[in-house]
Amino acid sequence: MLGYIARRLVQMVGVVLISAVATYALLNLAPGGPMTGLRQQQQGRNRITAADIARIRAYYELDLYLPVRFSRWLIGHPRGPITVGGTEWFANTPIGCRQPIEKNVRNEKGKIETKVVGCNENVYLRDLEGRKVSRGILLGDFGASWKLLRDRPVSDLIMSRLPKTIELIGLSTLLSLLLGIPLGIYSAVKQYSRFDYIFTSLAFLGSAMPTFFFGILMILVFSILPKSAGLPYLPPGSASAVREYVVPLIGTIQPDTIADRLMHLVLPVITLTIVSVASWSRFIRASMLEVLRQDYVRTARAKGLKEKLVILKHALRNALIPFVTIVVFSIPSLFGGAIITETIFSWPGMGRLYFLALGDSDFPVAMAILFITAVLTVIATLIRDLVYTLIDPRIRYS
Amino acid sequence: MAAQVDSISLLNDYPKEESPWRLVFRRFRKHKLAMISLGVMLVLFLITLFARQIAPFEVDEITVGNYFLKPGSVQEATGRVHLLGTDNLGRDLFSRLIYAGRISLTVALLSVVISSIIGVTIGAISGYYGGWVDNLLMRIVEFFLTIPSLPILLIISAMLLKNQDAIPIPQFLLELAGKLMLLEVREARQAVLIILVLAGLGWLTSAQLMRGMVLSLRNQTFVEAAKAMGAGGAWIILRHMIPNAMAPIIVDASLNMANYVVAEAALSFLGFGIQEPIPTWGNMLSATQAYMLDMPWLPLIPGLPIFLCSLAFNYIGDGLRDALDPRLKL
Amino acid sequence: MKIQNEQPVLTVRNLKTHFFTEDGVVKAVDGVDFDLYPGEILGLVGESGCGKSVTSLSILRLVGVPGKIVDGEIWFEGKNLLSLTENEMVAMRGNRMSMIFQQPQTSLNPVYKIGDQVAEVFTIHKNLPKKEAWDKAVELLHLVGIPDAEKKAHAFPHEMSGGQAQRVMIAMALALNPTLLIADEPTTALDVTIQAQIMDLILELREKMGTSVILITHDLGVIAEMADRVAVMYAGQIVEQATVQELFARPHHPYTKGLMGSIPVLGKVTRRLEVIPGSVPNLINLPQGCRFSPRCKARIEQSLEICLHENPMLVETGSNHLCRCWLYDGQMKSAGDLMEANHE
Repeated sequence: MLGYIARRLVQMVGVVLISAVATYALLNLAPGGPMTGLRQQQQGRNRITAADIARIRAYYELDLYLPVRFSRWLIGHPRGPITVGGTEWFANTPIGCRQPIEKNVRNEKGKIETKVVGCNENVYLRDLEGRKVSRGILLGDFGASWKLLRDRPVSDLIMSRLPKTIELIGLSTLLSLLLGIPLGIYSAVKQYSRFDYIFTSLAFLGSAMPTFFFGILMILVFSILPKSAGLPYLPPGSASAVREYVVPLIGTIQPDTIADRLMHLVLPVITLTIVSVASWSRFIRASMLEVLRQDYVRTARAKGLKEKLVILKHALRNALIPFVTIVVFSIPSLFGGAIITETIFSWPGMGRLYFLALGDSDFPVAMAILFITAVLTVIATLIRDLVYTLIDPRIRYS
Repeated sequence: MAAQVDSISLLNDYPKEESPWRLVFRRFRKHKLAMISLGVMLVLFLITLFARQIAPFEVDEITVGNYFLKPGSVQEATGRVHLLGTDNLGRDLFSRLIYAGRISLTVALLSVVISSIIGVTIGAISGYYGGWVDNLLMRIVEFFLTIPSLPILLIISAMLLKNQDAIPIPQFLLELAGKLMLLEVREARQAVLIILVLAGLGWLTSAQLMRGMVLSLRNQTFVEAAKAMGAGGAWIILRHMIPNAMAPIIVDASLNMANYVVAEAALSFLGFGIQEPIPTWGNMLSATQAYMLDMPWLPLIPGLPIFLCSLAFNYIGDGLRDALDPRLKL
Repeated sequence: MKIQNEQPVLTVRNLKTHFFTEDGVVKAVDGVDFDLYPGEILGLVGESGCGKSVTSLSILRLVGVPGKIVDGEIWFEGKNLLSLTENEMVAMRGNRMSMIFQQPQTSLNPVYKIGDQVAEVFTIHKNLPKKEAWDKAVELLHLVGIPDAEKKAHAFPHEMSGGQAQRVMIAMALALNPTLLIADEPTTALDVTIQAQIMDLILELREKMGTSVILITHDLGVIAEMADRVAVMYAGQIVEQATVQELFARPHHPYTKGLMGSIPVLGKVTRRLEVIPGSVPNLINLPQGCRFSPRCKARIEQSLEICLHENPMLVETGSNHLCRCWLYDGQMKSAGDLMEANHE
């Protein structure tokens, strides 16, 4: 077992490294980086000098060769010459180019392209000394944001949004479990009943309903329409109000009080909950029906167990086994947030942060969120496999 | 001897076997909601197919001053009716909805076709040849199936759209896509990119399905027989595996239709899909958000068709599953 | 032969269990009558789909939706089971009457230890504390011949062979010394050598505990070896019932004869095995008249018209011998004898 876990951990590191490379590749392919527009400015009146460009290039580390840049991004090294016993090594190894020689070349289509053909001035390893460097994303340092909070660490942004997402997703996950599991069980046990019929129809509608449309309908029905009709209403967006507001029959609500926050929480939580209850309970129902057909359930009945015990002790335990996967894989979304719901309700969480980062081409922020989500997914996979060894005696790893 | 003849004549009393596709259709017809959905989708496809003939206005025909007309308003000058009213620029919502439907449905349909082809091919190769190829492919598929798909979909389409002019797409493809979606060639580029993103991330489940089917078929006698007769891998896959795996692939495709309609709408809604002024249900819905305080009915106009399509394709998939493989019925 | 003068422990009268499906009403069991006497093994035999398993599940009242017992009486220990409340029935199952199944490995819950699964019978019916129930379970496992029972009780079902799993099932079924054990194809899924062991175990425990057994099987060999009396089922009805010796010596019903003709007999040289033409009728659209008539060679040979119009009754056609066939009906008796003569 320990050997298995160790092997899995090594595999995980591999997957994380691959994800890191993929993330970095995307990050570098991403258009709209910090250098965008600089070239255009070169032609304008406020011509920026070659020295300016070199400075900016150094600031974003674009003057370093890709492997060096990647290594500094990943683990925060190299930071300068390696000192062993008082002597510096590799101090004069070129690791980048401060001033590339650019040439305009006509390509096969006849367009003029700017190509780098050589280097005027190299960057050497010794030059890295004293340069600002991140600790590397593997240690949780994702560098600085490009746009949303210019030059501030990405982690600051994330940490300011994370609690809000955990609050929203945590609450709705909990509610979905509390509602989805019993509903699914009950519907399966009462198969062909009127309840089952109504429930499956509603769950079908719910799981076919696109979240973004559902969210808008919720705002319409519980916020806009009752407000204009003078009825009690719920705030349509954001996590708290800016100034006090009056809700009919409920009274005046001061901004940022518990009441205010609860009011703002209701709509996004309900939206997320209904969507996942619809699909989770369908899953539980299907899984339960499958188990109820099994021979051992018949045995339990033939043994003289009361139906309640047959369901809760013999059937449910087996029906929940595949459901574990779904629950475990909601861990990454606890971090990544719900992009659509958070966007519709302007909920200041991770999902909306990701949305805003993409819209503003703030790729370090977007990549950090994506990377952490991928890592959490890998961790969730391991957790799932370990949980299975605990709950399903048929599964043993060695 | 006489008794033997008799026993054969006795057998003739039993009903003849139906052809499998007739049987499927007979079972499908029993699923009322699936039949209704099929009808609704046929009507929607026909409407969008004749978009030019049916839509009373051009896509971006702007009537100055006629902003936010109520549904059913009549243009005073010409007497033409805005069935669903106009938007903030005075464009006819009904016409835009039809053109948008043409785009949304075409994107979904092409994505389904492409992703099914990719999925079936990769799944078949993976399952048939096995070994490290299979291992690697399926690890990749599993990984991508476990990480949340929306963030990846968003970031890739955001990057592709920002870089769209740098991505080489053959001219004839763009022209073809443009014809299919009634778009100009330079506009078609966006739609093609979205199709590529959707299909590029959407083939995973069909690959898994196909692989499973191939694995279960690989050791069956007719495949062994074909092998013994010297048939090659490609022949066996094309002639024996794919026809036998059609049932789950078709079900998967119809459910994917629903997913792609919603995914395309979600991308456009969030602003990382097809952009204004090209109409799609998603970006029309997004645009209504700003005005729903005063005109609460506005979001329903583009929202309902999305929901309807999603629901209809889900029901059709459900009905097909019941009809093709009763064992899968839940 | 056993003591038929005693009071039967189980009396089934006109039992009808129908399944209400989308395609129509499936008459899986359609008027079954039989008695089971103390300590007796009654074999219930027939092709798959003839209603033998549904009959046994009906006795335990374990037929689930869309199935329903629509008519009949099941008398057991002085009570009509069909009029008991569900709670009274729950107290019966696993306690006074119990059942073992065809697939022993899937009949045990994969997530619980087998010791716990056996012990559960004591905790639910006798309210024994956990520890005591566990000890009793281990004792029982030992009794049914599980080696190293203390250790094996901690095993999970997937760690056991089919034969061992069936022993566990038997331990569970006989834990509270029930009056009635229903064994539904208990050895079909097992290896031949294991089959014999399980059969011996059932015989041995029957002797020890005096349990009456309904043994359901499609295997006439098993019947010949185990049963005291046999009931042959066809399309939801019993078509022939007799003691084992009587049935094998003088089968009456053309269907029974067909069944026996399709089994090779050691030492007997035949050119080919007989087959019964056609297959079990669709239980939704049953043939008019006798349910076996479409497949019945005797009907054609005797050119009997009545078979196509009226379903015969189960009537006495010999000592302790019941048969449902027009060949043996009153005035047709001679024809029956004629056929009998032809056959020999």
